[in-house]
Amino acid sequence: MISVSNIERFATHDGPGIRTTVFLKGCYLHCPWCANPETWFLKPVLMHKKQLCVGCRQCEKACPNKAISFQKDWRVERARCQGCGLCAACCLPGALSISGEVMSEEQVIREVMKDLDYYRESNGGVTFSGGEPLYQKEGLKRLLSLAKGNGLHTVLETTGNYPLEDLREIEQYVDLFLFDLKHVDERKLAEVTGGDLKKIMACFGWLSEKRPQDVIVRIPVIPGFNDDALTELIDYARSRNVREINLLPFHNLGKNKWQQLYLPYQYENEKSMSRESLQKYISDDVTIGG
Amino acid sequence: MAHINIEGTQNVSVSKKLPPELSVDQQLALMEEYTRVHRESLNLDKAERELNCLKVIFPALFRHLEQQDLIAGRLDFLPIGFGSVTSIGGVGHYCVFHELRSFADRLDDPGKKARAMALYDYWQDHDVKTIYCQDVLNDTTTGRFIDCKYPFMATARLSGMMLDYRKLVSLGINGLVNEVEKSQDNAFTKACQGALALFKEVIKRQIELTQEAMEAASESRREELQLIKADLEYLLENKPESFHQALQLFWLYALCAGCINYGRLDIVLGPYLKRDLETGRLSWNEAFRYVRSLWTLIENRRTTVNGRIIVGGQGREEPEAADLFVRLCLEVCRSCRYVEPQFTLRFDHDTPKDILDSAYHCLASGATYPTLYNDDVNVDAVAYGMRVDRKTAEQYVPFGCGEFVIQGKSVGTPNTLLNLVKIMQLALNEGYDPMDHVYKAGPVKVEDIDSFTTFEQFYDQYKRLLDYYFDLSIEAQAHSYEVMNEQVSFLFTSILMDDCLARGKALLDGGVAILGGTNETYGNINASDALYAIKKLVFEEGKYTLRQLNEAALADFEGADNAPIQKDLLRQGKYGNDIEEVDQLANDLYEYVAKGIRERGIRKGLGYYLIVISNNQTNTDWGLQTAASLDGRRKGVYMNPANNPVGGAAKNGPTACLNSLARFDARYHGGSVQNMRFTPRMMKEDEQKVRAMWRVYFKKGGCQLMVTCVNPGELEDAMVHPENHRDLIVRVAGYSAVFVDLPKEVQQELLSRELYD
Repeated sequence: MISVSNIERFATHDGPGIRTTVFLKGCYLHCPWCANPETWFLKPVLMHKKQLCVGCRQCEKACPNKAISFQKDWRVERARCQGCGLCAACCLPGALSISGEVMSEEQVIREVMKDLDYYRESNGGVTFSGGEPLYQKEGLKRLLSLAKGNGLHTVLETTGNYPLEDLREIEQYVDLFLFDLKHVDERKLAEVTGGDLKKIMACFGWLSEKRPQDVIVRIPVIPGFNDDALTELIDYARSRNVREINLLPFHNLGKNKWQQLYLPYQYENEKSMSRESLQKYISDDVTIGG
Repeated sequence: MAHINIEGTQNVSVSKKLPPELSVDQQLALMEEYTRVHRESLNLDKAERELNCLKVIFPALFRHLEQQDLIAGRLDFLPIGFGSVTSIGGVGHYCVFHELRSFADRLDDPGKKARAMALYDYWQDHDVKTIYCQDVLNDTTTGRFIDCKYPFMATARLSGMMLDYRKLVSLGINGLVNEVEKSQDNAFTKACQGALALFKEVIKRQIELTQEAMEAASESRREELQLIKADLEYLLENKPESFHQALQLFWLYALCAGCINYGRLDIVLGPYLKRDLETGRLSWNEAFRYVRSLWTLIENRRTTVNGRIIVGGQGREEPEAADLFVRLCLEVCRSCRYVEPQFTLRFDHDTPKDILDSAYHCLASGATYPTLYNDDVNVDAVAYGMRVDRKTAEQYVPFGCGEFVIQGKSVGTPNTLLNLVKIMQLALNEGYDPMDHVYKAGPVKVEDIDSFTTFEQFYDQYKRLLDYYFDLSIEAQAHSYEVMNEQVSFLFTSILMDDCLARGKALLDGGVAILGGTNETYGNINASDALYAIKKLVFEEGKYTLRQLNEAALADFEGADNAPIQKDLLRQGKYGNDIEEVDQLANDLYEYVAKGIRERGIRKGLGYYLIVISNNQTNTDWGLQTAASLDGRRKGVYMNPANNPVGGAAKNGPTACLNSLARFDARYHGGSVQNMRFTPRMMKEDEQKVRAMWRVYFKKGGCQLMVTCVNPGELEDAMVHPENHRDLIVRVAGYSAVFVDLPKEVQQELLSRELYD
């Protein structure tokens, strides 16, 4: 069984052709700009749209674990919430929803296979993203091997923030890697994202040595974090002979999700970055967007 | 039976028409003259009467050329006159009562007012549609089109006639006269001769109008007018030799016949275009300007849901020449921001790549055209559905909102309309419509819903009611032909339709080769989603009784007990998400309805009688008068458009939606349209992926696709600031419209649809 955040069909930004992207739950990093913070929670997670809530307290009554309370405002005690969804089922204004579902790997692949004809027509396939897909390594391995067994082209979007052994185990099932590089400064990376640059470099180094042309480096460009280190990052990635480098300009589309999870969002007032502002980095091997 | 009054809106009309050129007094006098001639011809043969009446309005109602016209022929119509369709006037000898009343209201002189209203009284007894309605309408089951209180609407009209213009251009007028002479000598053929003579009078009048226009024209404009005039003079006695002549002849004939759908013009005009280009008689740029002028003339007729020009596809004798015309039209289409003509591309596996490229870029530019028809599916489907050979089926053409006919060979007017949601509500409420508490189940025995222990029992009850309405439908359709045939011959139409001249018979008098018909169905997906919710919640999960669900719907889901039921209903699987079980049930209902109608057509002796899931905006209008349904839809809310998912229900992305759409077997319907909305960003940046997606959809059996390209938030902004969005064109269903001209309810229905980015 594997914990899935979302399955997106006709995903057009996660690899070649028409793809289905399976967003898996769980992540080793906690980047403050994350567009999918609900994936940090391995289990299905309750989300609350404050602006829709009418304070009817039906959810409080419905919760078998007493996780929801109304002192002044709506509150959830995450440790108690089992993600059963009974509260969301009775929420008439639709303020509550559960993000994520535990599925069998076969179930996931059945969903993915519904668009097989589209993959064939467009040289597309399936992409596993997250979160960090390797957070659920065993489940991911099963998914990948099922996908390959069905003849699908596979893409893995990954942070590299795990033991190299984990990557070695699944590497053979992956046709293309979308490898996130966020910074080359060990201290800054650890401070801001909780990441371990040594692990990332070990994985990236090994992979780019072995299969450089099956690696696309993706750099999220974050104001105040790495926008002054792009040249360095690009030069480094380029020195490894990877297939291409994608710059992903910062956007604040994840903002609502942070609010719905009651997590503090640092980029409240930060505007989405324009593509034009990154124009100067564009070259044969560097593009904007995935 | 008491006199029935059918005053009221009779067709979907969004675009505002140009006011007639004649003065109000002249209009009144002309309508009086028409009425007088009609009255005095009452004892004559219908063909002779028709000809006499036509002579009153032709060429009198032809108006002056506009400055930009490169083809002659602009025609007005009045509240009284002769026609085929409700979009421009009415059917046969018609009176549009609400138009006549408003005409009278605008007159200051009480004497003139009284004269106008005297005409109203005469036409109460003689308007063809009123005569039909008198026979068919009742207070419970059957309403006039458009009166949405009823589960079923019926009308008399002759929509979607697409004539054999190839015959017209290859014979010329004198050639047609010879054809008529070879036929039998009877009242009909005599009147046909008269009609062709009248057609020459129309041409002569165009010559005069062109001459008049020359007087004040600039030098360059005079040259253009000189060409028009010379060609008109040539056409009086000769068949067309040039592209411009062929175009001119076709256009004037279509006007006289009251046709507002034009059909496969690439077949008709392509060979002339090719020859003229090769001989240097015509430059590409000149050809472009002529066709653009045609586009403008069609736009100016403003029929809202018609104006079909169809190009491409199978069954063309000179495909290379025809494709030249296709390319020309695509260029013109991209250069205009018009809602009409409804430019339609038929394509198949052999269609040249540059044509497909150009069509895609036209759509990506926001034109909403061309609409795409897949011949690899449609030709065989039409052959089966209409029971014709493949060669005949190759000449299928969609008209209006998407109904098929065979060009030059079949009548397929949609004179009947069914609301599948309303009929289901009769099944839930012992035959009563919860909207107005009127019993509408006729003789059908409708059981109490507590008596059902299985889903199939309920479904059977629904089917029994559907059967009853199918019976009403076929009778109403067939009767519309009887009434129209008693009253008129449709002379101009008959002349260019197989096999009227050969048989010496008028169109509906045994003349037309294939007398078919179509029945529009609405709320198909609300109904199937409701069936699925009932199946799951009542008969599989046992969470509610059918009565509980129905009571909640009767309360319009208001109240503490009912709101959670609506939420449960909305949470059930919905069509459009590629969910096997849901789509299967949708398909089961589709096939039941489609086959039920088709079989009744065969039994009645029609060439074909097929459902069309085509939709104009009746899904919205009818929804306003339809009670809450068990898919979770509230009372008065629009129903789903065509066979598309309910607005907002398709949440699994475009591939899932297309997989659901491709499920219905095209052989059982006579036209079904699918709308999708994409952002300009996606159309541009993901072009190859979007095109690959469409290809797969078409390979899977998708028969048709219509695309609106619009930015997120653009429609919302247009509702607030209409003045900034005059050129925003959207595909409503089987027609396109300037968004800000649409009624608010229709705008909201459009907003509810998924926008893929």
